[in-house]
Amino acid sequence: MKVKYVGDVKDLLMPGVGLLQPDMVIDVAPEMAERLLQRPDFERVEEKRKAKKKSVRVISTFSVEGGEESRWEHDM
Amino acid sequence: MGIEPVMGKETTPYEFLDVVSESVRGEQNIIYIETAGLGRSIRQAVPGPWGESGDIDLIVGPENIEYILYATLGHVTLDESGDGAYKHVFTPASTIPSFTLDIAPDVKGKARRIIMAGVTSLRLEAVAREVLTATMSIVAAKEKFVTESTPTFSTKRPFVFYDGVLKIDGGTVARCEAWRGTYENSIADDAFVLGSRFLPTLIVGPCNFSGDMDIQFLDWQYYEKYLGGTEPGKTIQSIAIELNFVGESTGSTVSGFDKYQLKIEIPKVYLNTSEANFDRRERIVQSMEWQAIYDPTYAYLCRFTVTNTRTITINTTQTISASFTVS
Repeated sequence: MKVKYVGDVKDLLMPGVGLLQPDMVIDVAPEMAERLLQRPDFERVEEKRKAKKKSVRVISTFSVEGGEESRWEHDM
Repeated sequence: MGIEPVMGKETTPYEFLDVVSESVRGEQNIIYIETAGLGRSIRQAVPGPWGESGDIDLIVGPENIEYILYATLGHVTLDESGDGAYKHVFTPASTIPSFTLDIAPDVKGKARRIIMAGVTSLRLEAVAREVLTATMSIVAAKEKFVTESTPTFSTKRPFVFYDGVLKIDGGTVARCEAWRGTYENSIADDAFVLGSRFLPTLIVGPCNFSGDMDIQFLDWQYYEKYLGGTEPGKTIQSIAIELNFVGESTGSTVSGFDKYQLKIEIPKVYLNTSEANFDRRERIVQSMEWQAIYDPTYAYLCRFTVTNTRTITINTTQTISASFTVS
């Protein structure tokens, strides 16, 4: 789980993690993240949701001689 | 540790101290009921007034002493360089804030949470060949188990004896071997009331700042200051003491903010004893005990200045909060 250090101290040592810098994002175990989020100098980092793939609905296809493929829609 | 929003209201700690040792303990103060009619043995025991007190020893660095000084003295002003360095100036206030302390020995993820703690005394020791150390003595209302927090610690180099300079009356003391000072708050640890096992509040008594210093005995100037002349008279002479520790660079380009610093200023000090005795061929060291008194000219008993690269954060509505000002 990702949390962001929003304090202003440079080279802050977090045992087991390393040195922190302002605005640094760290990925830690969920239980550690929950404890860190109780502190005022850490914030939750919202995970970006994966964008849904745009789907193309193919109504129909046809082939012409020569192997060229085209798409068309029915006239309504 | 964390400064409590109101006296006795526990808070999640946000300042983490990598200490040397601690001896904070609770005490049941059991009341054993002794009566005459039930034979020779004690037959009953009931819980008494809960006691919570002890010491915390730490090595003083530029970014682990501000909250302790605030908890000890009660008043801080903040000044900033504009390029990332800050100067915190602490002076004694009429009362002091309470704080919550979590003591985490790294055993099974649990910590002891000490609630409504107050600093009864803070002792600073600057001894040649050593790092600057502090001993904070506390008294508190009670304790309980909590899940331990995840700590972070400052990595700034602590103050070392060669960073320090002692001045008396503005003149540098070239051969100071040691300086020690204890600031006391005199918190009543027996002010219990009917209806509770725990201290209802912290009642702060008189404050006092005293200590001693060892200076190589090369001339009589400090002995004369002690005597107040060539012999003791009906008046005594006060001196001003300044101890200044200047550490590494803060990265600031602003004069006065460019180095990590801890400065202790005591404008009015009286020397109570002075020993400069010889022993065979050993070097003679003059040891003087001192006592500070309030100086109306400066309007403080003592002043501590910490220069570093972070700001002190205090979220409290305790009456002391009026003493937190930013200039």
